[in-house]
Amino acid sequence: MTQPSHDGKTDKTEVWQGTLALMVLTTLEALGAQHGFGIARRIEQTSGDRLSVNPGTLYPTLLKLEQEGSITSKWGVSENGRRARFYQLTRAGRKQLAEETRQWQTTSDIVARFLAAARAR
Amino acid sequence: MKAIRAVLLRLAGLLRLTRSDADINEELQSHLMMLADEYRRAGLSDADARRAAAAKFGSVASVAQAYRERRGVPTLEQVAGDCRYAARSLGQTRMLSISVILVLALGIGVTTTLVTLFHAVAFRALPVPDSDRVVKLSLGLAGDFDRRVQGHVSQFSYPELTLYQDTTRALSGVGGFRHEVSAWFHGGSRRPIVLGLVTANYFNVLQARPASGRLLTDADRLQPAAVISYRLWSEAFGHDPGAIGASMLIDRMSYTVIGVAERSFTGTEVESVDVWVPLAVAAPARGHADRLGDASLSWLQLVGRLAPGASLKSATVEAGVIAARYDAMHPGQRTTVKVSHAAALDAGLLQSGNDRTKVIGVGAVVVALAAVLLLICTSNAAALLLARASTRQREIAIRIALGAGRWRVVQQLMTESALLAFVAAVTGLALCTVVLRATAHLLPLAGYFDRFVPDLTVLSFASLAALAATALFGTAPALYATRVDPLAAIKQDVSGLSARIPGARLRHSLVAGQVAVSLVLLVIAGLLARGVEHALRVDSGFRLTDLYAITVDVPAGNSTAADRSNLVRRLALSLHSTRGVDVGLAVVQPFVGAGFNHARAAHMTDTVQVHFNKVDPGYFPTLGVPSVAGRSFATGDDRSHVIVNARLARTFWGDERAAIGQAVTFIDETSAPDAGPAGARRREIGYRTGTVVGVVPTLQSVDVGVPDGPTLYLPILDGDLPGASFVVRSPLRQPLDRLTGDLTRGTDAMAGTASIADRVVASTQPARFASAVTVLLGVLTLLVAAAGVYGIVAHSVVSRTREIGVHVALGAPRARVLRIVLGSSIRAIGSGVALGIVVMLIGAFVGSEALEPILFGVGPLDPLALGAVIGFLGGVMGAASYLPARRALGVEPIDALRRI
Repeated sequence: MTQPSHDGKTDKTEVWQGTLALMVLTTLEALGAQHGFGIARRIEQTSGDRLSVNPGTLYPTLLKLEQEGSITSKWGVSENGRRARFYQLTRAGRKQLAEETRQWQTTSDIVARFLAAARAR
Repeated sequence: MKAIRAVLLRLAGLLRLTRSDADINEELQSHLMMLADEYRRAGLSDADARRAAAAKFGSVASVAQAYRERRGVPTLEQVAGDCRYAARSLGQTRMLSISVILVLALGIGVTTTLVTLFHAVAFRALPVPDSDRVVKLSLGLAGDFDRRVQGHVSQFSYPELTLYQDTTRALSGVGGFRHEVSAWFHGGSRRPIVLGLVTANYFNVLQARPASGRLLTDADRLQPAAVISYRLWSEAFGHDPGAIGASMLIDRMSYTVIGVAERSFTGTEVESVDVWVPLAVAAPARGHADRLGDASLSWLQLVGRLAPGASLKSATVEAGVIAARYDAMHPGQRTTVKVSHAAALDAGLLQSGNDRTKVIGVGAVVVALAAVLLLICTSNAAALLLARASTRQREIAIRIALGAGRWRVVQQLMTESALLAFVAAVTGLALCTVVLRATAHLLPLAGYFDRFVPDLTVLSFASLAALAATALFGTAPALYATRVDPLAAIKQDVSGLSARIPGARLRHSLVAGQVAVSLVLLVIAGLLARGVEHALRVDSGFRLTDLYAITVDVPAGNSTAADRSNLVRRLALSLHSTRGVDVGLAVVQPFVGAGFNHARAAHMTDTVQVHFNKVDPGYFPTLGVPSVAGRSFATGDDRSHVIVNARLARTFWGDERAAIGQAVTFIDETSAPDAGPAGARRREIGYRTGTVVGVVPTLQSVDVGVPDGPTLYLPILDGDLPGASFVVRSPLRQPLDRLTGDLTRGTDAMAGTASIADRVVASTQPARFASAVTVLLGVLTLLVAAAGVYGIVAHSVVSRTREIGVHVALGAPRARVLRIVLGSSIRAIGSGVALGIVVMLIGAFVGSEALEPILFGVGPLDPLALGAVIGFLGGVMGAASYLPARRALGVEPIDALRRI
């Protein structure tokens, strides 16, 4: 599922497919309405620039979330006066975010325990 | 929920309802500009910022593509695109596409027709309400039993039928039926009909409905009542409501028509019934009164209807109880009664094991035939597509070079095949419907074909056939076309493409086979057509113009043989007193069959079978036949005087004149044949010897165009009069009709006049039909074969373009170029023709007897028919070869040489 790729110069990891949706939802919860560029920038910043968000992955993910009803979108104008499509969490999206956060935490807890056990041995 | 919503939105995306391409591009451009803004803020110049942003973003096109794929359903969009593309590219090679469609349509159409016919015969439900409640019963006998069979051993006797009717609770009714061929005396001729002898409750059990009048009921058990089929109603009565109440003379019994069965109801057997009559009336009328009381005679088929609440299982249990009662009727016998659904059209037919094997055997042949036909058609379609694929090598190579996966290109080519197959299936179904309609009109069994309408089962068969065809004819060319080295192909080096296609040899043999089959079929058709033409010009040995037959009859119920003799005598008197009319009497009329006897000359030890007729002194003069030797019959001649035809004279004594005065021994029935109700009485048979008083020429009076066999003529005596009929030569027909009208007015006697020339025309009917069918089949095969030849030549032209170019450049004449490309097809056609001729030579020796009755004297190897067919076939094949070969003549040497 994870496919870290190296583009030679930088040591950035491409964002993991399955986790991008969760990151998008979290970002939108934190920022409110935001355009694709802003979402990508925010995810990269949050990761301490260790992740790079490929537009070829980001936009299909946004469309998928919209088709599933977790987010909506409409055209707007950015703070710099650029016309852009703004994405926003819906109520269903908030619910999905809570659910996915809980699942993610459970999963990472379990994985952490395994890693701890392995280290202890 | 979420998933459904997503799917719906994606489907909407297909129709661009959610987000347009422009919208997507705008969003991505805005992203790109924000990126550039960021670089600009970091201090880059405007141009550098844009360049850096573009580098970071990557290909907008591929992002947009990823986006679009998420938007809709890519596979569906692809299929739609492929279809559009396929339609366009097929439109470019219109001739070829039409050929492929025609060939496939032929295959699918004919196959579907065959399957429809078989399906209708074997598997259609009875056209009655709740047909799934209708059951058929069959007997199984074991142990020590003594059974006589008139039909099949699984059939019932009349006492067994009545016992079942009286005992059963599980069935709401049990009816018995039997189909027999009989004759209806109608309009001066005996019309052969299929008579359904049924119990009076038969229609009640089946719950069949009348189209007019009413059907038989229990009250009609002993009444001479008749129900006629819808077909007979329309053919013989012209849908006249007045047919109800009319009387019909069948088996010398006068029945009153009480109703017409519904159009779809043609009985419970494969063959269609014309008239249904009560069993208890018709069996005695047909001389089988004794059968009704016979408990050991299998002759009736039983059909029942499950009572409300009863199941097949409870009926089977009950049948066991009834079988035990049968065992009591026949000590030592162990009977089982099988109850099964009469879902098959023919409750009776599939009842007997023999017939089932027959039907299944025929079905297997039909299906195999259909499969072979479809295979041949698809292989020819594949050949055409291969030719097309070869011309598209460059296009495909470019697509592959541009990054299309091989599978993707195969998919595209298969879409084209599927599109062709779809159009072909629709055309084929239309063809099937037309053929079935035409068959229904052409065949004498018209009513029988009414139910041959393609239904859902047949439709699904056709689609399946189309699917199979796509898989069969589409796959090989698609795989072949995509097996290409893009670099070589684009550099126009087609050397890799002229490699022999696997299966080419098989295709050539197939085409040869098709040529042979169409040759044989067309020759047979030609022979039949010549036969028909010959029959109408044939010299029967007597003049057919102004020659009429007059037949009289009296219903059996209230007349005796003496009454009929009197009627004949009275008509003879009035005919003889009419001016300008010649009259003769005969027991066997020209062209209505033959009488048979056994005879021998004094020097012979064994009798041989001979034709035989009884005629009066006026017979030969009326026909206009002079004696070859001796004299004609005279009044006062008796059974010691005989006349023979020239053929018998030569066979027995070697010469016509030597026959006069010779003794000939033959079988003589001392009493005249009497087919009345008491006709079951045994006839005394003994030998008698007579003297030959005259020899007549050998006529062609039994089968049109075929000389009669050795024939013995005896004088008609008083006892023969009831079975005799008149041969009359009269310049006008009206006086005859007036005479017979006067004779029968006010009595229940019937008389009818028929033209003998009409009989000759009627006798060519089966040959005309057979000829039409074989012409159709022959032309179809020829078309398919032509498509095959076209494919072979077209492919040979394409794959050898460079070779042709070299030849042209070196100055080869057109003939030589043609020889290069036509070589293989000429070989295939030539071997096909040779094979066809060999098959025909064998057939002429083996099968000529089968064809003889419908060839009317034309030999099976008629050179005119053969020559015409080979000429026609050669012409069609030449055209099929020449059309694609023209392309070879148009090859530009420069163009071809550039390819080296």
